[in-house]
Amino acid sequence: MTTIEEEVLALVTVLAPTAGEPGLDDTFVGLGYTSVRFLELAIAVEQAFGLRPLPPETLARVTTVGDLVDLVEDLRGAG
Amino acid sequence: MNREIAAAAVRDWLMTPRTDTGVHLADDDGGWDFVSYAALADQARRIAHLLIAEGVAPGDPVGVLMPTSHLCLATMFGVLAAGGTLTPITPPQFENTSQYADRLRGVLEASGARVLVSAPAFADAAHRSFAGMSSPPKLVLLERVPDVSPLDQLVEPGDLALLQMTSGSTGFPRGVQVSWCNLAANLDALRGMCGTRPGDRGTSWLPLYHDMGLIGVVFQSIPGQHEMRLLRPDQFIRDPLRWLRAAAVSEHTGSPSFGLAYVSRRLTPADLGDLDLSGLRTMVVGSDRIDPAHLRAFAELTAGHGFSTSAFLPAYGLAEATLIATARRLDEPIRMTRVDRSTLHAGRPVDVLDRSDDGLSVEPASDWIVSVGHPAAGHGVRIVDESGATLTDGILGEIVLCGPSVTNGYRGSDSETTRFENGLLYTGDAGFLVDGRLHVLGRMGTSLKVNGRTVFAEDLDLAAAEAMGMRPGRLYCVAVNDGDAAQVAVFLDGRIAEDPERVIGACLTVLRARVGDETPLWVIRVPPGGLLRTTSGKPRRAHMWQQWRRGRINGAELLAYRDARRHAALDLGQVRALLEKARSVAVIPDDATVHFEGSLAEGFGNDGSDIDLLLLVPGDGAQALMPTVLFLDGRRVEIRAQSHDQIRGRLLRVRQAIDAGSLTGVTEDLLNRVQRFLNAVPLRVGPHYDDLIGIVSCREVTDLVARWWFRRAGHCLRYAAAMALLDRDAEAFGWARDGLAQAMKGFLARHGEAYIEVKWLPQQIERLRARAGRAETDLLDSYRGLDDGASTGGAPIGAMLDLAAELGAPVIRLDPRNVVIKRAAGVTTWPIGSTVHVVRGNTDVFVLSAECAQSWRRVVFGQTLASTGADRRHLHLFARHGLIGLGWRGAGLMRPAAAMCGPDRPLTPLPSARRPVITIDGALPDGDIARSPLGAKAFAECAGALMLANMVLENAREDFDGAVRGEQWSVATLCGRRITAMAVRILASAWGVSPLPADPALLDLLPHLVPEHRDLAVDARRLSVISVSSAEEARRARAEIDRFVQHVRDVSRGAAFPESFASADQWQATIRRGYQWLRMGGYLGAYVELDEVRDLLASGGVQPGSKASGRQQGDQG
Repeated sequence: MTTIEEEVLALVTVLAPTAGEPGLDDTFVGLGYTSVRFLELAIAVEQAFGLRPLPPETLARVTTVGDLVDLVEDLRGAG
Repeated sequence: MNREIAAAAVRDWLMTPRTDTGVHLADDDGGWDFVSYAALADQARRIAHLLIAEGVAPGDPVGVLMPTSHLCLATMFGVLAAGGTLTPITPPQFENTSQYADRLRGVLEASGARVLVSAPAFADAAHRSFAGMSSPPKLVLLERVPDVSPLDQLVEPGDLALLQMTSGSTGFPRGVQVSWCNLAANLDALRGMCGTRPGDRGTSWLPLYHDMGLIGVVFQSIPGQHEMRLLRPDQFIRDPLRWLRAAAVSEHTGSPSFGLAYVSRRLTPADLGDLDLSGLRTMVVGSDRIDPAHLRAFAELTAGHGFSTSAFLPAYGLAEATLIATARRLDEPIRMTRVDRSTLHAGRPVDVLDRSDDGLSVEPASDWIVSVGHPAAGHGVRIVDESGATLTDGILGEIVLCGPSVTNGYRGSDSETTRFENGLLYTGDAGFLVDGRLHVLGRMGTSLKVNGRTVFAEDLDLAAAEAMGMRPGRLYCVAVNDGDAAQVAVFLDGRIAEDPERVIGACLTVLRARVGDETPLWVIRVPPGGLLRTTSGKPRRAHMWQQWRRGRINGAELLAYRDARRHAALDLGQVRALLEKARSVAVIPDDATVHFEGSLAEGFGNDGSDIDLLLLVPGDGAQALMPTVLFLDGRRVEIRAQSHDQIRGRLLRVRQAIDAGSLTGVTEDLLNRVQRFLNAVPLRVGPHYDDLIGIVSCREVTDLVARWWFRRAGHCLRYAAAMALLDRDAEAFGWARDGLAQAMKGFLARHGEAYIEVKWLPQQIERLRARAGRAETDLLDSYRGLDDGASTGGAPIGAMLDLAAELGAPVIRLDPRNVVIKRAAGVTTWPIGSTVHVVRGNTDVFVLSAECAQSWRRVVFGQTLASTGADRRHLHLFARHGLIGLGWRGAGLMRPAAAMCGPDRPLTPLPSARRPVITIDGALPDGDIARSPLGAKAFAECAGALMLANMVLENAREDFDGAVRGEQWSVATLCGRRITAMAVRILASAWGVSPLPADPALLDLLPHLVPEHRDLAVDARRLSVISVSSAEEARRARAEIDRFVQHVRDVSRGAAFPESFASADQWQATIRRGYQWLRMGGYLGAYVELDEVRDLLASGGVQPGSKASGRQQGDQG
């Protein structure tokens, strides 16, 4: 498990409206995330990894926890 | 207002735009992008030109699916400039692409959009949604303002300005049809309510596709060319202070209640710095339930920064009324009303505990309701009851709106809760008025009536969360009216950390306090993330309940289920605990759905009853039907497993029976299992459980069970009537009592009590009595009276038949003409000599007494008890032994089956003890009807052996005489021994020994086989070695043998056998008797030893060359 993956999972777990241990295949809807809560998660991820604000069109493509991990890895690799 | 004037109010700015003011859009670097109205109008008119070129005609719905941007705003007004109907579409939000494509397809189909304008970012989603559409809209992708000239004149508009798509929480998209006049009227109303003046500025973070953002912000600001600051929702969530900073340089802004709470949670007064909100004149609060605690928190946050709580504008609105319907008047105080939620009762006055015109100073509590004020000028609001009659101030009912903002209804599917009738909008929201001010309680659809009181799911959420010590977001409640019974379910996510039994108990207690003891309660744990919500976070209550009822929540567990009417004291916690223990000692597959069923689950049983668990295992495995039985905590726990295929097979058989309207093939076992399945309490839901749900409904099965019981009761009751008519009073009472009980089962099933087990009849009656009406109660009382009477034999049978008919069983009259004598299958009659034998089912031989035989000859099938010449006492015996059937006129053969028994079977008494067992004239009668100890085939074979021995004996006697005449002493010796052997055979056959052993063995065993005549055995042994060597010896021997034969024939009752074949008459009589036996033997497939004897059968008993007929007997087989 990569560090990015671990950190993203930790944030997803802390902010998830429901209890449990999220996995990479879990969807945010499935984890009980509302649009507002998901944005809060995105902000936390941006701050944790020093990313520029993620535009809504980019976030719209994020369905699962794994998608978010991929997104962060892409941006970190590119940045 | 006509359409042209209305359209002008919304669009004319496009032709006279200003350069000195415009729209500021928040960028992602903390700054603002400004576009002047002149630039925006120019862009809009270029886009309008493009759209016309793409084929948009006046009134065509045009979908707009774009990220928040200047281009999006320009496109919206471009659609209107081109005369089209604007249809804003929600962009995707972290949902998977195929789900979004399905949703988008639904929206496009419901709206009938001809053109979809979108951005490259959403092109893929748009193309995916087009797949499968018969006529997808034309896709116009805009990346920048198109390179075409601006439209120089606005196109004549169509009927509708807007098609505002709403999906609600049920998932069926529909578009609210907003006319130009609706839109203009509502914008007027908004302006009036907000006190908007020229030059006022607005700020908003609301999404543009949402009614509050679109109408309340975009259309409120742009046509009046007010300076506007727009943030995207994500920018607000990211940095809520940005919103407040923009609001500080505005006069108007707004937020849903939760937005105020969010700001208050994220920011402290110190974060606000030198922010000055004193210029903010209105803060519209709407869109969701207004929580006084949210207002108070925001007021506390901003109190030191000039925000005046008089800017709060609590409002109520919905897209169906364009947007705004009611709001607080700016010159009136914020009214809050505290009501007793435990007494809410539609159509009755709301119990007002307290009211405040300075609500923000009171301690906010969930039972305070913030008033949303008065209707807009020119509009009306009223509260109505279920019949639509208007209710006065203070009475709870449905909110109905009227006025020019009420739209023209839906395009796409209709809503069940929000309806348009005669220009009135029935909102589906519940509320009441106080001094003409509206107070909203919640959706009628998620409310519950308890004894006429109305309880709202939102209130239950708070109460349940508090009782369970959980955050409110971890659970929600669903109040449903499934059928005619109100129920409440609590869906919660995640484990209960400590003492779950106590926590669940506390939850049930507070819910009972609110919804009453009668309302069934469910507490259901869903797997992590399983609480379904809309993307805006609203609970999908009705949908969640549907998912549960359809068995679709894989991994859901039922933590508690309480239904006082059904289960007086069901402790599901104990059952769950036993299940957990069972897991450690028995194999319970992880993917099995676990049903708790049987007496306890049905609400019967007692401390000693078994706990019946059924595992439903996915797939087609043929699981063992034998239960695993565990003894845990002093309870017997039965765990059975069934595959889904087995269960589905049964459900489909019942489905077929229901569809065919036939009870053929519907067995007690099938009904019992299916009924138990449908009434089971699902403790845990596994995968594919939903495949088993919905094949048949409880109601369908209870109907089937009722019909099944009534049919069964009919057989018993008719049989009771037949027995009474045959003067068998005791038996008649027995059947009538059982038939009446079965009729009661049918009656109970018709009222929903379909459990098959008869032992719980008294409890089912009590349960029905608790909720039954007067007519039903009277019947239940009559039943109890008659049942008590019947148990002492005192109830008149006619009264029992009448009551059964009232319960729903067939009407039965005590009339002998109704009872029809029927042929019984497999019954044949065999007269031998003067004796009548009746063979039943090719197995049992019955011998009838002379009187019985006379009645038997008088039996004519098809005659009734009124017309028959047979004795009734004998008819009863014939019926009891299954020799005849009893039918009921118009209802076929009676096949009575007592409860918990198989169908009635014919009587098979112990065999007759009379000896000999068989004679040449048949068996000996013994009472009215005696059963032969020999089976039918053995009976015929034995008779054949008897006849053969007799014939051979007479032959041997003639041979003996011939040998003596010829002085052939050794031949005579052998013939004498042969006569003896035949006599022994006659004796053994008469005593039923069949087949006969070889002669030496027979001679040896004779004392045991015929113990009554040991002296004959001694004689036989002596004569079997007799020797003749002279005429004198021959004479003595012959005399001794003749005495022996005579003796044997006397005891075997065969004296009538002709002593010689000297005369033709004797030969004929012998043949006739033999023929009677042989026909019987032939029918029964008996082994007959001698070819010549068998030839008798072929000859039909006629001696070759003789014309006399030997056919004297008929059979009734």
